[in-house]
Amino acid sequence: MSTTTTTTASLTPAEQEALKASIFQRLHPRVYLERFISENIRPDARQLDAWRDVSINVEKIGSISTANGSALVRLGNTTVVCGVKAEIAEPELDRPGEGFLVPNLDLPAMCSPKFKPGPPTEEAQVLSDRLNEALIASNILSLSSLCIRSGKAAWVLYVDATCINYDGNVFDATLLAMVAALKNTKLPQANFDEETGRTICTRSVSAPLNITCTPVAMSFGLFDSTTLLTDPTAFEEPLLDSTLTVVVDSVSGALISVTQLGAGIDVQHCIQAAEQRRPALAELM
Amino acid sequence: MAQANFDRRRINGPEESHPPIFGAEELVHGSRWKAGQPRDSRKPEDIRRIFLKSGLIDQANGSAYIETERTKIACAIYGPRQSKNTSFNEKGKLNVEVKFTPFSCDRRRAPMRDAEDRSIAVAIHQALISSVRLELLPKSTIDVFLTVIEADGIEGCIASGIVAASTALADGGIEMIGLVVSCAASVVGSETWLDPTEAETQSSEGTVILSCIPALGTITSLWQSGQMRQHDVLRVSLLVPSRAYF
Amino acid sequence: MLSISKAEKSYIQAGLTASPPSRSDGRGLLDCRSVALETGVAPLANGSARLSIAGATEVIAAAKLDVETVDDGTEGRDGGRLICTVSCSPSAYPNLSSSTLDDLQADLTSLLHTTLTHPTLHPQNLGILPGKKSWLLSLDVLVLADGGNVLDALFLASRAALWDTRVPRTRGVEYKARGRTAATATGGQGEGGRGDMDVDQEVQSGFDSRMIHRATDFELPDYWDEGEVLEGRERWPVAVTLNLEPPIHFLDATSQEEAASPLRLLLAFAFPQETPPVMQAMRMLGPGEVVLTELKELIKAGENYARAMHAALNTKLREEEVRRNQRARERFELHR
Repeated sequence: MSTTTTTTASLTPAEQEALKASIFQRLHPRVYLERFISENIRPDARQLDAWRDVSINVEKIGSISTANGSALVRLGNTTVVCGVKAEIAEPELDRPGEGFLVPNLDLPAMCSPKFKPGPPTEEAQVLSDRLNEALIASNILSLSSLCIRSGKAAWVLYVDATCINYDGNVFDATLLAMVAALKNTKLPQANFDEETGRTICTRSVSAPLNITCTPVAMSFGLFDSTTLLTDPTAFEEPLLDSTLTVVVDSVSGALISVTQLGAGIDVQHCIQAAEQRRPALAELM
Repeated sequence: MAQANFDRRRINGPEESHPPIFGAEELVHGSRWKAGQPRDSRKPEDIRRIFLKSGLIDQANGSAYIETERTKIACAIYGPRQSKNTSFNEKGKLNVEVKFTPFSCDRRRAPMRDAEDRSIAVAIHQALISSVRLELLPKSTIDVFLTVIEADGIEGCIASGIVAASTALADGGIEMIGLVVSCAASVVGSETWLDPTEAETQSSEGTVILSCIPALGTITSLWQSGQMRQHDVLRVSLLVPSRAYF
Repeated sequence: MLSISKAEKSYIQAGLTASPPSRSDGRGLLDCRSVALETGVAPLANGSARLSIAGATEVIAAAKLDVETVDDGTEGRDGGRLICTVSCSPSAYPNLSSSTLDDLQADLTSLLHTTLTHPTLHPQNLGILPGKKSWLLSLDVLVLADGGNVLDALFLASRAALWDTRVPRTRGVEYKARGRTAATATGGQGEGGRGDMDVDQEVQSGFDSRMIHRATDFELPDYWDEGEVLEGRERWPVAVTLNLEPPIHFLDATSQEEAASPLRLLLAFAFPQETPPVMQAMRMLGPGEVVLTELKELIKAGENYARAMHAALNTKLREEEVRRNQRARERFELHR
């Protein structure tokens, strides 16, 4: 206790105020947010309906030579890195002409104090599942294009995303990273040898994937049953009553899916807001 | 690869899959070094360029990101926070966990903790433990979490991981007796190559990773494997600290 | 592993650094406890050894050879491979929880495995058929009791077991389909491949040639032959742990002493016959630091301890070989 008093005493009045505010934020998060909302502003100085800055990086830090394709996405402070690894497997018996797309999101203990090391948390499981659904629903690439030889060999694309910095709305960031990484993926040419039953690849010849659609996600949250917050942060997320995610094709604007958890959100309004936001994301892609 | 790989907590792929096999004529994976040849791309005593930045993960108490060419590691520190286990401990605990992303190596790593993660964590723990003033933190734990985004040789991972973790500890305001720096060196033929890549360690007879506190001139960890003569080890031990300041 | 009270700790430390130093069992700083070693303890293994340090630390090591297919998809490699595993009996560490015990096993395994599987130590006679088959040598070490200095015991026992290992002699066999059966042999790669075989030296072999086009296989020419020793078995290293309690260091610590002075330096040396000794592993273990000049002295001292240990171990291993040969002969006499 004595150390706390000595350190606070050495701070400037402005720093003391900031410390008081951060203690208040930790002790009474809801009241803290309510006070901001009543002034029509959010703790990170955004308007209620403003988005955070997005950047997609596939060139420098995002380029991972051990992966077939990769991307790093920053959404505000939320950072997600995604790598695509291609392997070869025998197709499923009931779908001999199709390959596999296996998306997974990892939320390691590193990215936030709320996660512990060990198996995937409930949140990671839910997000992985939703990402898988979004990719399937958007039909991002036809699985039959991954087939090397019907019934014998097909590509498996492991799309693994890892969250580096968890600051809310990980779903939007991860979907961006996964789609960007897939667009950036190149597969070597593969030839199935009938005699040996093996697939031999050629390193020198490679081709990009045949991506037919670039889905982007936009999420909203409802606070206090009345206020709609766009692109919630990690601080806001636990205080929300319900959340809604709109997934659209960034090129055509076609609506792919709307997922709502909880009730009371004006769906039409969100779809319109998403439509306004879409061109900015399409340009990034 | 493993058969019983089904995990209902993740999205599962096929039961079995293997990395692509490339034609025999393409085995020339870059030009392999042969005895007597000089090192390509840099001088024997040069290390790879380091990009090091602290404070990237804002929810962590301290964090750092390091990149040495192809090796990319992010590190976060949480704590000191209360130890979970009930037994009283006079000294704090330093807990190091390393995780590889599935796409970090040439072969996909199934998302499961394996022995390599643990041995790297142990090596990093050994290098850091004596630098942190744990006696000031009774009943507490400092968690050091590292995520390897891309790896180029386990030696490079350990050395870069140590530098990143020590930086993150300093960023988190943890009291230390000094910053720890670390560097690997391989004996290749009659030369000693600092900071070897994976391909270089494979063609070397022996590798040593030395971690030290330059401010005090003390060594906190030595990790040597492979064949080395006594004088080689000593030469490397002299060389590494002289090059390890930055 | 063992946790001891502060008073006990400082009592042991004071004893070690006193002059003359005193240890609870009356040994000098550089004296080792007596070591008992027996080879050939596991009749079904290709090589085995049991080692005990004064009855307090007990370790069993056994090496087993398995045939492996060399293929791109599998882990098998041309020229064979070695896998080392250390398991610790829970009764050796009754105070550890199962997860800590797992971690301990993983640490010991990784230390032993990385040291012994380094390419510079690899025995050259683990290949069977280039590109097709090779031996997988699994070395399993079991810690039955830990009364301190378990690392040295692990390396000693492993070296003894590997020294004792015999690789069965093999001979390559070639199958040639005669013109008459050529159609079946090439047409169906499955069962049809086993037609009339032209085996060199007319040996009738029961091997199935499935999967292998232009089949090549191997056989054991003499089932009863023990086989040959591992190539380069003189190279396997011995390890010595220097327990550091600056300014002194001491050898062969008991569990209490390990708990009292946790900083250790592990040095593994190999003593090839013609060339000067080489280091195969070095690890600093435990909290603490050393300065470079100290380190130089420690390595020099460590080499001398390791040389003495190496010489003693070699003498014992030769004795064991003589003893077992003699016993085998006696048994043979009895049966006749």
